[in-house]
Amino acid sequence: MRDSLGRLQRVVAIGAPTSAVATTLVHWARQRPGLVVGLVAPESTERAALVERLEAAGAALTVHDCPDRPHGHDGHAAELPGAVVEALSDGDDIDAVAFALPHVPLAEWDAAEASGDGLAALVSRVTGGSLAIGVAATQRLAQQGHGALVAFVPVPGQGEPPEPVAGPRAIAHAAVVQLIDWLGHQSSDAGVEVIAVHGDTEDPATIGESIDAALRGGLSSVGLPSASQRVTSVLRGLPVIRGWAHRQTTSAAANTSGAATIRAAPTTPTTSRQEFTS
Amino acid sequence: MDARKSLSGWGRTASSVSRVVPATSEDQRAELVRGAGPPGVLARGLGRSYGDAALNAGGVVLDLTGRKTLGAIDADTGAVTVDAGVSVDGLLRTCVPEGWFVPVTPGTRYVTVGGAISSDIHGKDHHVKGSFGQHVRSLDLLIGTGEIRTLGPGDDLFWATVGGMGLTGIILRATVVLSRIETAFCSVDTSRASNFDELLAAMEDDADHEYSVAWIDCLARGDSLGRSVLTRGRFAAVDELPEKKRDTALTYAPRTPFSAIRAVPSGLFNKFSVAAFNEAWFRKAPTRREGEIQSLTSFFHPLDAVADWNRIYGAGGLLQYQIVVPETAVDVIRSCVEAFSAAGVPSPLAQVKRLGPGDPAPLSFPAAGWSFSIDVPAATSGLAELLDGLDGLVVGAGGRGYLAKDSRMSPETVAAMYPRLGEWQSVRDAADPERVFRSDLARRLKL
Repeated sequence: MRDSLGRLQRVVAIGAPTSAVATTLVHWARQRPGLVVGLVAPESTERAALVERLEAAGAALTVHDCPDRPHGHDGHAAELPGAVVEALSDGDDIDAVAFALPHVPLAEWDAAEASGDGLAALVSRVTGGSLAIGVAATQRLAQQGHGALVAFVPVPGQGEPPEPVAGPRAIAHAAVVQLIDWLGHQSSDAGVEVIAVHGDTEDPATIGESIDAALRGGLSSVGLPSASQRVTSVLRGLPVIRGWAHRQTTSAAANTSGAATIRAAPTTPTTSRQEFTS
Repeated sequence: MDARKSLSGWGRTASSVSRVVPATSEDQRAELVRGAGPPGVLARGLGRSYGDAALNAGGVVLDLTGRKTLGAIDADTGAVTVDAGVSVDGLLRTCVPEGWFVPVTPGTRYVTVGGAISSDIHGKDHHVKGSFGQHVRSLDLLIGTGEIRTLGPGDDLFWATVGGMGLTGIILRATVVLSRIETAFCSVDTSRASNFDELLAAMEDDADHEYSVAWIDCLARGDSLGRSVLTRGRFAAVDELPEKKRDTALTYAPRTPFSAIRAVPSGLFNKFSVAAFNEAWFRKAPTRREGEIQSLTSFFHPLDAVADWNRIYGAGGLLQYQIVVPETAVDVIRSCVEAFSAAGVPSPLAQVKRLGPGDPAPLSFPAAGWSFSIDVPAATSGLAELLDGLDGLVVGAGGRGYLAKDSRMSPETVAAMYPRLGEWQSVRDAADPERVFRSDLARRLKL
C-alpha cells in the first residue's frame, strides 16, 4: 500500500524501459527500501542496466520476459502478453503500474505507409496493444480500490521530428494519448489515478518528484521545464484542487521558454479541452 | 443502500475505494461477513484514525455510526452497555447530566466506542486511569465465521481486540464502566516552561494530577527549545464553581463547531504563520495560574470547536507522529523536539505526556514512559527521512509508534516496535483463519 508520504510498496513496470521509466523506478526504490518490482520488458541492455540499478537500490525484483512490443498480426487486434497477465495477476496490492507505451521508429512508420496493408497492422499494434495493457492494468487496480497507472508516452528518436504533426503516426499517437485520458475518466470512481507522462529525462528531480506530487493528489497537472517534458496527471473528482492546479499549469506555461502548448486536463469526458499558449 | 465510495483517514492523505455498507440487523451483518470474499470487511466509525486504519480498499466497509443504542447507566457501578457506533459525544450527552464521565477521552469526542476499543485510546489521564480497554467490562464481537462471541478481560481474544485495529472482528456493543463526576467543569492549573528541561522538571509530580498534558512549541530554538505550556486539571467540585454555575453544574451543551476552511484562508499555513501562532499561544498562556474553572469541552476537546481543522494543513493532508518511550529514554523525546525544530517543520500542535503502565493488549500503544505527538503537513519536504530516523531512535529505546495515528511506518519497524505482534497474530488467526477482517493499514504493515 502507498503510504501517506507517497512511498510505494509494490509496482509493476511494463514495456521497454526508457530513461524516464528507469529514473522513476529507481526513484521509487530509493524512497522505499525493499520495494517489490515486477518488471515486464524485452531482454535488452537497457533492461539489464535497470535491473542492476534497482537491485543496488534495494528493490526486490521479478523479471518477466515479453516481446519488444505488443503482439499483433494479420491485422487482428493485439494480444495481451502472458507476462503482463502474470505480473498483474497475483500477490499483494499493486500501488502503481508504470507503463512504457510502445515506441515505433519513424523509419518503420514510413515503411508501413509504403506497404499499404502493413500500416493497419502497425496502427493496430500500437493502439490495440496499449489499449489491452491499459485496460488490464486499470482493471486490476480498480478491483483493489486504489493504485495508479503511470503511462509514459514515447518520445521521438534521434533525428525524428519532435512530435508527430500529421499522418497515421500522428493519429496513432493522439489515439494512444486519448486512450490514457479516457482510462483516467473511466476508472477514477474506482480509486484509480491515471497519469500520462510526456517526455524523457534522467533527472529524478523533475520527473520522479513531479509524479510523486501528482500521486499525492496535491496536483492534477504539472508543467515540466520544457514543452517536450511535461507530466499531465488525470486525477478526477478533485474539483478544488483542479482549479488550483489549473492555475499552476497556466503559470508553468508562462514560465516555459519555447513551450508551444501545455494542456489542462478536462474535468469530465464531455468538457472541452482548454488550451494555454505561451 | 450501499455504494462504492472513496474514503480517507482524518489526515486526508491516502485514500481508497470500498463498498460502504450501513450497519443493519445483526443477521445481515453476519451474512455480510460470511460472504465477504478475499477483499474482506472492516468496521468504520467516525473516521478519526489519521491514516489508513479505517480503510479497506476494494472490500467492504461497514459503517457502524448508524447503530447508536445506549443502555441505562447502572447507578451503583457506572456500567453502561452501548452499541459500538455510539460516539463519545453521544455518550457524554447522556451520562454527564447524570453525573458520569467516560473513563478515558481522547482529544476529540467524535470517536465511536468501537473505535475507542479498537485503538485502545488514551487521554490526559493515562498515568492515573490507563487506556479505554481497561474500562471495558465486556464486548460482543462478530467474528469471521459469522458467530457472535461475548468476551471479557479473561479472554485472549478480548485483549487482541483491544488495540487490535478492527482486525479480529466487528465489535457490536460493549459494556463500559463510567467515572463519577460532581460537575461538568474542571479545575485547571496552567504554567509555562521556558524550555524542555524546565518542562521535564515541572512534570516530575504528574502523578499528583488526574489530567496532564503539555503543548510544546516545536519551532522554538536555542535557549527556548521545547518551550511549553503545561496544563493539568481535575474535575471540579460543586462548591468550587462560581455561584451562578452551581445550579447548572452538570449541564453539558457543547457548541456547534464552526468551519476551519472559513476561518483559515487557503495557503495561510506555513512555517511563518505557524511560528507566529506558536508565539502567540505561548505568550497568551499565564506564567502560572491555578484553579481556573473551565468547561469540560474547553479542557478536553478544544479542537472540536473547529469542525474540519484537518483541512488547515492543506491539500497534501497531515500526518501525526506519535511515539512512546520508556521513562529512562526521555532523551529520545528531546531528540524529537530538536529534530523538528532544526527542520523547521510547521506544527501548531505538538504535545508531551507521561503515560502509565500499559494493559495486557499485545497491540495497545500506551506504555509507561513519555509520549510525544506532533501534527505535521504530509507535504513537508524531507519528512520521510526525518521520521524514519526518529523511528530508529524509538525502536532503539524500546518504544513504539501508535497504529491509530500511523500512515507511513514499514512492516519491519512495526514488528520491531511491537514484540508481541506474533502473539496477537496467533490469537487473530485462531478467531479469523480466513482473514475476513482486513484494512489498508493491515496490508501496508503486513499485520
